Amino acid sequence: MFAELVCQTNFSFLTGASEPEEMVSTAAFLGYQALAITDECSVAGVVRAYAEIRRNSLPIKLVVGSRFKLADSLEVVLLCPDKPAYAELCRIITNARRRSAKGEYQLAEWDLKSIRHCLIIWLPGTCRQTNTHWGQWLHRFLSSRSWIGASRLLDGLDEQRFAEIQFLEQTFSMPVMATSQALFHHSDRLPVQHVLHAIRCNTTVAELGLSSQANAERTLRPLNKLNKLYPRKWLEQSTVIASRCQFCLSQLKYQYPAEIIPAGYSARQFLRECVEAGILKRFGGEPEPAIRAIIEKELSLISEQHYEYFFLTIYDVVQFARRQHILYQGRGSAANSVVCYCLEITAVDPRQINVLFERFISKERDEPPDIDVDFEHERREEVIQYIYNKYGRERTALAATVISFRFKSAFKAVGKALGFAESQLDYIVKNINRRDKVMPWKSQLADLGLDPTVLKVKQLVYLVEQIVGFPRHLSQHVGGFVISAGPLYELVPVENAAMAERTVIQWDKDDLETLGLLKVDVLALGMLTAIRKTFDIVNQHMDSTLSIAHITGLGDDRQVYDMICAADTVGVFQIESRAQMGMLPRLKPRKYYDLVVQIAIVRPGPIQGDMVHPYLKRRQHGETVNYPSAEVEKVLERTMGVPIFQEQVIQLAMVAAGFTGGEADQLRRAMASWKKNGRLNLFKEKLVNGMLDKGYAPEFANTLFDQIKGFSGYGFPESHSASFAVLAYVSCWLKFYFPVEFYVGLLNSWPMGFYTPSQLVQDAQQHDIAVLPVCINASTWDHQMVFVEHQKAIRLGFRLVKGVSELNLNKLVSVRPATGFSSVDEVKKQQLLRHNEISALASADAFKGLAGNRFQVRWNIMDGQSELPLFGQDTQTELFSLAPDNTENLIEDYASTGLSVSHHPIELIYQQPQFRRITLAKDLKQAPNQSVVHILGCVTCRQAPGTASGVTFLTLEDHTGNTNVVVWQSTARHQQQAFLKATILQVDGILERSPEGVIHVIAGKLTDCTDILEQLRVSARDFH
Amino acid sequence: MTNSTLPLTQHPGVWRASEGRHQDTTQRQDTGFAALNTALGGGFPASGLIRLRSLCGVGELSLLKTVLGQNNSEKLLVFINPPGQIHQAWLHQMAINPANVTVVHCRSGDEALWAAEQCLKSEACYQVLLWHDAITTKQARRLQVASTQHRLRCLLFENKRVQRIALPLTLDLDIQAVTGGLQIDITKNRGAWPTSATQLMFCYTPTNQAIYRAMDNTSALHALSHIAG
Amino acid sequence: MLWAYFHYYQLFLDNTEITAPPTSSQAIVVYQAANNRIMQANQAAREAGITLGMGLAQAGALCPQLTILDYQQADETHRLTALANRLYQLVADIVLLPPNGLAVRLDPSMKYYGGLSYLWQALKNEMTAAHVHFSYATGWSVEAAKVLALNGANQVFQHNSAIKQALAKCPLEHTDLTQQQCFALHRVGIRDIATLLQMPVTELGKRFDNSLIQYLCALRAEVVPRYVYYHPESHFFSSLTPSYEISENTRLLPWMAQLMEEFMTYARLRNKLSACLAFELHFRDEQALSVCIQSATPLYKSAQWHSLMLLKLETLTLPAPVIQLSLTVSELEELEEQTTDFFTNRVHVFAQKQLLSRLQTRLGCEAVGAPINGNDHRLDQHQSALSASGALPAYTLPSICLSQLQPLCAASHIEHGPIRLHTGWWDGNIQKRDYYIARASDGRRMHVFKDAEGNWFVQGWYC
Repeated sequence: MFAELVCQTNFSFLTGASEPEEMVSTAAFLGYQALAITDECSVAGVVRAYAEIRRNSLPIKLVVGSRFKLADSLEVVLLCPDKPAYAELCRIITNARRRSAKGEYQLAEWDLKSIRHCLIIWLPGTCRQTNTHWGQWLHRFLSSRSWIGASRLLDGLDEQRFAEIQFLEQTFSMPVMATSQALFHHSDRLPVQHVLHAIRCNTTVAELGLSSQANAERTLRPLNKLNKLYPRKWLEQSTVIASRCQFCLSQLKYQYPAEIIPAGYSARQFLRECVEAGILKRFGGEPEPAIRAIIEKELSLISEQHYEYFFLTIYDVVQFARRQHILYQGRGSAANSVVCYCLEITAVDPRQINVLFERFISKERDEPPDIDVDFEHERREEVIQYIYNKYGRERTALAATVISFRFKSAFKAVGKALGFAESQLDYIVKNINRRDKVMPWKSQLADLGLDPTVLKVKQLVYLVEQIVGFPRHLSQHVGGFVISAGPLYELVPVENAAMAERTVIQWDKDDLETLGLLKVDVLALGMLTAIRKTFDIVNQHMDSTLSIAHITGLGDDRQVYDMICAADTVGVFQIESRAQMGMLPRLKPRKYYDLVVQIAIVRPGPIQGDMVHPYLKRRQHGETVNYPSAEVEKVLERTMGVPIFQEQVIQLAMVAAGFTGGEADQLRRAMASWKKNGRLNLFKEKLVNGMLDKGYAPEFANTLFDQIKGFSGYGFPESHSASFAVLAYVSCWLKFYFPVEFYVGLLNSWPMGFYTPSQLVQDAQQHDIAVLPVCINASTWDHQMVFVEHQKAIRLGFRLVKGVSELNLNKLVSVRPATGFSSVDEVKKQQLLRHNEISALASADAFKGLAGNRFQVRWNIMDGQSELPLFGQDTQTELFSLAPDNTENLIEDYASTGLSVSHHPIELIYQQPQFRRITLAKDLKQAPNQSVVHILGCVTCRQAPGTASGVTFLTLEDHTGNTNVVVWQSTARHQQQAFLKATILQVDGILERSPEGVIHVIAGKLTDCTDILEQLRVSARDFH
Repeated sequence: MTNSTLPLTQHPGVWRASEGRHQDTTQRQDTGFAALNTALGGGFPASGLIRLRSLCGVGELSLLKTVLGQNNSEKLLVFINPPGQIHQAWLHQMAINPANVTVVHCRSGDEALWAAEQCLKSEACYQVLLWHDAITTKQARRLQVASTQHRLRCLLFENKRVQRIALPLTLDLDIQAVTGGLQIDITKNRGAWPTSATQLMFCYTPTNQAIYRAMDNTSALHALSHIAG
Repeated sequence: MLWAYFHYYQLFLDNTEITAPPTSSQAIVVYQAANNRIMQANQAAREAGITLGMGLAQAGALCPQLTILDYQQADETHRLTALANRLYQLVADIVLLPPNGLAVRLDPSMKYYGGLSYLWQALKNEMTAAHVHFSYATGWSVEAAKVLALNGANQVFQHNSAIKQALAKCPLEHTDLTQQQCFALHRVGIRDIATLLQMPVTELGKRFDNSLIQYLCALRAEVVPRYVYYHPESHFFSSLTPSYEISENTRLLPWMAQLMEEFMTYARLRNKLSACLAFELHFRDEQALSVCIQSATPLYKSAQWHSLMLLKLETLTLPAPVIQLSLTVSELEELEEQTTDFFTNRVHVFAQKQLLSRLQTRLGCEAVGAPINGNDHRLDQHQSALSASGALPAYTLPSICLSQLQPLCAASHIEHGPIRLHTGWWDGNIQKRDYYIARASDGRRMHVFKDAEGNWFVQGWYC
C-alpha cells in the first residue's frame, strides 16, 4: 500500500498541471491509501479536493498540507495530523504571505522552529554540506516529527539522492518515506506543464531546455511501478504517516463574533428583541396573525439552524449604514423574509409579494442563507472600513476569487509559449468571434492566417482548450467578507491583496459554501447613490423626508406604470437598456411582480432558452396554459407556466424529477459554473429519467433541460430580481414626480448606468427641462437644481469639464464673491487654479459673461508674460480677431465637456440641401408602417447581442430623440466601412412599428456623413 | 662492488643503467596516480610524442585529468580526429575551460598529421591529442622532433587491435580495463625502465550502488541490469 | 534657393514588394506594435477602407484576410540611403531626412541640365526605375517643400507666389509642430498655416518656445538653417582581364597578387586595413566563382596575404578557364597601431588566431570546430557551442558523443541509470528513451539507450 504525500495541483499557480478533482479521483483509482494536496504556501486547492471526495464518496483519505522553500536551500512539506496542526499551518502560511508582496511568500526559520503539531517531510538536495547543516537543525528542533522524502524521478540524480538519504538516515536516524512529488495526475499532462512553466518564466517552451521536466515521472504512478522503484519499507513509511493524519476539513466549525450580542443575552433572545422592535416600527403594532405566524416560523427555523449570529451581524452592519445615512438594500434568498423586513435589512413589504417562504432557508437542502447588501458605490468604502475596525484585521478578510485563464488570455499566453509572433496573436484574438455558433473558433483560425494542418497550430488549439479554466492567481472577491470570533488565520490562511491594506483569504465563495462557512456580501450599486442624491435635493425643498420604504409603501402608482409602459425609461434602474425599451410596451408591466419578471426576462439566459415568446403570447393574448401536473402548476403558475427564475428550475427538479435537496443544490451549483467544467451534462439523463418515471412527457423533460442549459451562468434568482424591482420602481417614481432632481442625482453619480451624460441631458431637454451651461459664477463642482422664473432647471457643474480637479474648483467656489468674478484676471489672481485648468474652463465657455468669445479668452490666457510682474499693465492689444461660429462652438463644447447644451450636431447640418428628405426621430411616430424612411443621426451605440443571429442594433441620436436601427449581417458586411467607421450616419430603410408602437428601422442603405463635421468626436459605446 | 670502483660510480660522466632514475634528463609531470608516477619514473614526460594504445572507451582520456589540467597560460588544447564529438559537460568535469579547446575533424590521415604538425609548430597550443591508427615511423619522427623542439606534449591514441609497430617515441603505454580500474603496461619510456602491469584504482563514471544498497532485494534488480546484446 | 522634397510614404512596403511581389488582390499593411498604429497600407488595403493611424482591431474588422508586416525602421533607413546613393550620380546636394524623406537642392545644378524641367525629368526617371511610391513638391526651403509634399501637392512650383499660395492652404498637422502645439492652436481657432503666418511673431513668441519661431522663419525662408549633405562611403573595386585564359589554379597567383598589391596601395593611402579579400573569377559561360580569403586579423603586410592565397589556391578547382578576375573589399578597418610589447599571452593569442586561419583555410571552415553543448535534454540537438558558459545538465554525459547512432550488439552490463527522457513534443522530434551507462565485457563503457520500441542504441563512449 502507498500514500502520495507531496502533490501539487494547478493551485500552485503556473506549476501544477491538474485540477485538485483530477488528482484525487486518479489517486483513488490507483488504489492509494491517502493523498496530500500540498500546493506551494497555499491551501487553496484543498477544499475542491475535499468536495470531490464527498461528492463521489471516493475511497481515499485527504491529507491537508503545504509545500515551502526556505532561503532556496531547504524544501519542506508540512502535513496536518489534527486540527491544532491545521491552525498552526494556516498561521505559518499567513505570516509567510503577509511578509511579502501579493503572489510571493517569505518563510522564516523561526516559523518552522515554532512547530508543535505539524509533521514535516524534508526533501533533501544532493549537496552534502547543506544536507548536513539542515539535518542537524531538524534533528535538534523537530526530531520526533520529521521524515526524509525520497523520490526517484529517473532524472539522472537518483543515485546521488539515494546516497545522501542513506547518509542522513544513518547519521540523524530519521525515517525515510517514498514520494514522487506529483505535478500532474497523468503523464500526457506533461506538455501542459511545460507550457505553464514557459508562461511562468515568460519564455518559449523550446528555450526552457534543460530547466524543463525531462520526463513525465512526476505524476501519480501505479503501485506496481512504485514497488519496482522504491524499497518496500519506504513505501510503507508513507502509509504510517498517512495513518497519523486524522484531520478532516469537516472539523472546521465556524465560531461567530460574540461581541454583537450584548452581555446577559443569548443569541435567540437578542434576535427576538430586535425583531419585536422592528415589528413596531414596520407595522406600527401587532401585525395580522398570518404575518405573525410567518415570523414565528422563520425565527424557529433560524434558531434551529443556528444562523442567529449571521442575521445579527448583518443587522449590525445595516444599523451602521442607517446611522451614517448611507442608502442600502438587502437582497438574496434569506432577504425575502419578514424577519429581514423587520430588521430593516430589506425594504420589500412582505404583504406586497407572497413571501417565498419555502425558498427562505430550506432545511433539507441545508444550504447556507445568502444575503447580499448593496450600498451606495461612493460610500461603500466607509462600510468596509467600519467592518475592519469593528472586528479587527485579524478576524476579518475578504473572500477570494480565483482568476482563471479565459479564452483570450489563454490563447495569447499559449501562443507566446509556442513561439508565435505577438502581433499575429493580437490580430487573431481580436478577430475571433467567440459567439459565432455556426463556426467554432478552431475553424475560424484557418481564414485568419493559421493553417490548421501545421503541427504547431494543432498543438496550440489542443493546449488552449486544456488551459482555459486553469487558475492564474487569487484576487479579492467584489464584496464577500468573512468574519470570525477567533483569529481568522486559525480557520483559513490570509494573504495580501493587490490593493493596499486589504487582506484576502485563500478560499473562494464556492469553497466557503462547501464547508458551510458564512460570508457577508457588501456590494456597491451606482443607482443607490443616484437615488440618495435625489432624495437629498427633494428633501431640501420639501418638508416630508422621502425614503425607499415610504415610496414602496404608497403601493403601485398607475401614472408611473403608464410612463414605464411607454418605454420612457432613460436613466432608470435595470429597465433602461435598448432591449428593455423594446420589451416594455409589449409586456406592459402594471404591478410590482410584473416588474420582477420584466427584470429577469430580458436577459441572455431566458432568451437563449426561448422562454420570452411563450410568456409574451400568454400574457398578451391570455392563452390558456396546460400544466402537466398539479405540482408543476404550483411552481409555474405565477410566471404563466414558463420557468424564468433559477429557483423555479430547482423546485421543478425536486418536484418533477424527484431530486433530493442535496442533488438540487448540486444542480444549482453546476448551473452557475456550466461554462467552466461542463458538469451539467451529468445531470441530463438523471433529470430526464426522473421525469419519465414520474410520468411526464419526454419532450417536456427535454425542453426543460434545454431551458436549464440556457439558464446556466445567466439565470437570474427571483430573490435578487425582487430587490432590483424595488429600486427600478423607486427610480421610475422619482423620474415621474421629481424629474429635475432625478436627472441632477443621476448626472452627479455618473459614471453609472447605460447612457452618457450627453444622452441624459438630451433626454432631459426632450422633457422640456431647461439645462443651463457651465458658468464660472453660477456653477459649483456638482450639478445643481436651480429655479429660473420659478421653473426648475439644471445648472451643469464644473465636474463635466475634462481636466479640472475637484479640490481646486471647490476652493474657488468657496472664495467666489457673492456678485461673482468680474474678469478672467480676477480668477487668475486667486492663484487657486492651474494654468491648464483655466484654459479648460475657457474652452468650455465658462467665462461667457466676463470676456470675449472662448477663442479670445483662451488666447489671452496663453499669454504667459502678462502674469510676470514687469508686464503687469493690462495692455489688451486687440490684435486677435477670431470668433467661433456655431459649428466651431459645437466642436469646442464636445471637446471640453463631451456634450453641448446649445446645439445638437444634427440640428446644425440637417437643413443642408442633401438632407431635405430626412424625417426626424419625433416625426417617425406619424410615418406609415412599412414605409421607406430616411433618417440621419449620430451613432451613439452599436450592439451585437449574442442571442440575435447575426443582427446588429444601432442607436441614432438626433436633437429630437433616439431611433433604433436593425442592421442584418449581410447589409453590415456589404457596407462595412460605413457601418464600422461612421460617427454621423444617414440610414435609408423601412420603418417597422409593432402593434404596441415600438419603432425599429430596418437598415437598407447606409451613407457615412461623418466628414461634414469631421472634428466632432461623439463617443459611441460599441459592442459592449 | 669492490671499493676501488666506488669513485668511478660518483664520476658524473659514468651512467649505470640501474641507477638511471635519479639523473633522468627529461622533466616529468605528476599524473595524479602515485603508482603510475613511480612506474613512469616521476610522471609523464613534459614534451615529446606519447602513444597510448587502448580500446576506445575504457577511460583513457579521463585518466589524464591532471595531465591535461595544467594550462595556466590559457593556451589551446587541440583534439584532432577524435572518434566522435567532444562534449562540454565532460570538459567541465575535467576542469578544462571549453573556450581553450579546439576540435579538428580531418577527411584523411595525412591531413590529420599536417594539422598536428601545424599545431605543434604554432607555439599556440600547450597539448595536442591525435587519434591515428596507421602512423609510419617517418611521420612519428616528424611529430617527435616538432614536439620536443617546441617543448609540448603530443598524445597519440592508437586502437589496441591495430598491429603495434615500434616508433621513435618518448613514452609508449598500453591501457587495459580490469575490474575496479585500469592496468598500464609501459613498453617504452625514454630515460627510465619499462614496467608492466601497474594496477590503478580508477572509477570515473557513476554507478547504481546506492540504489542497490537501498533496494535490499538486490536480486530482483540485478535481473534488470542484464540486457541482451 | 529652390528645394525639392520627396516623401516616400510606403518605402518599407515597396522594399518588401520588390523582394516578394504579391498577387494584386492581397491587402498588406505595415503595423507598428509599439503604438498599435497602421503605418503603411498598399492599394488593396486602402480599397478595403483601411486608413493610416488606424488600430489593429478596426483594420481586422474591415478586412479579415490581411497580411501584417512588422515595421522595421532600420530597413527603411537602409533603403533610403540606397536611394540617395542612386540620386548622387545626378545631383550633388542631397539631404537625408530618415526614415522616409529626401530633400534635393535644385538651383545650383539647373545650369548643367539647361533648365528645371530637364533636371526634374532626370530625377523622375531615376525614381520610377527604383520602383518607389512617393509624393513630392518644391519650395523655397526644405521645410516649405516638406509641408507641401506631405500635403500631397505633387507639383513643381517655380515662382514664390505659387509657393506662398499653395502653402497657405496646408493644415497644421502636416508641419513639424508637436501635437501639443497643434492642439493648443486648434483650441484658439488657428487651423491652417495662413492664419498662423498672419499672427505677429512677437505675440507667438510670448506664447510658444523659440523652436516654433525658428521653424516658422525657416518656413518663410527668412533664415536658412545649416544642413549636412550626403556623401557615399567609399569601398575598393578593381578588375583585371589577363591576356590568355588561365586553366590551372596555381597560375592564378600572380594576377591575384597584382590585384592585392593595388588594394594595398589604396588602403595605405587611406591608412586603412582589411581582413577579407573577395576575389571573383569570371568564366566564359560558367557562373562567376567567388573566392574569399578570410584572415582572422587585418593584415598589413602583403607577404602574409601571399601565403594565405597560396594555401587557398592549392585546394581550388576551376570549373573552366578564367577569363577575368576582380577584387572587391567592402569593410575597411582603421589601422590601430599594433602594441609593440610582447607579453606571452599577447603573442600566442595572435599565434592562436593565425593557427586557426591556417587550419580553416587548408581544411575548410567546417572542419575546425568547438566542443558541443546545447540547452536541450535531447543529445542530438547539441551542436558546436560558441559560448563556453551554456547551461549544463545535472546528469553525467559521455566525453565522446557519436553523431550517428550505432545499434548495440556487444553483450553489456548496466552500471548506471535509467535516466528517462520523454520530451521534444513541441517541434515534432519526440524522444521517449531510457538512457543507461553500460559496461561491455572488454571493459568499454558506453552511453546507451532503449527507445520506446525496445531496441538498443549506442550514442557515446566514456573515454
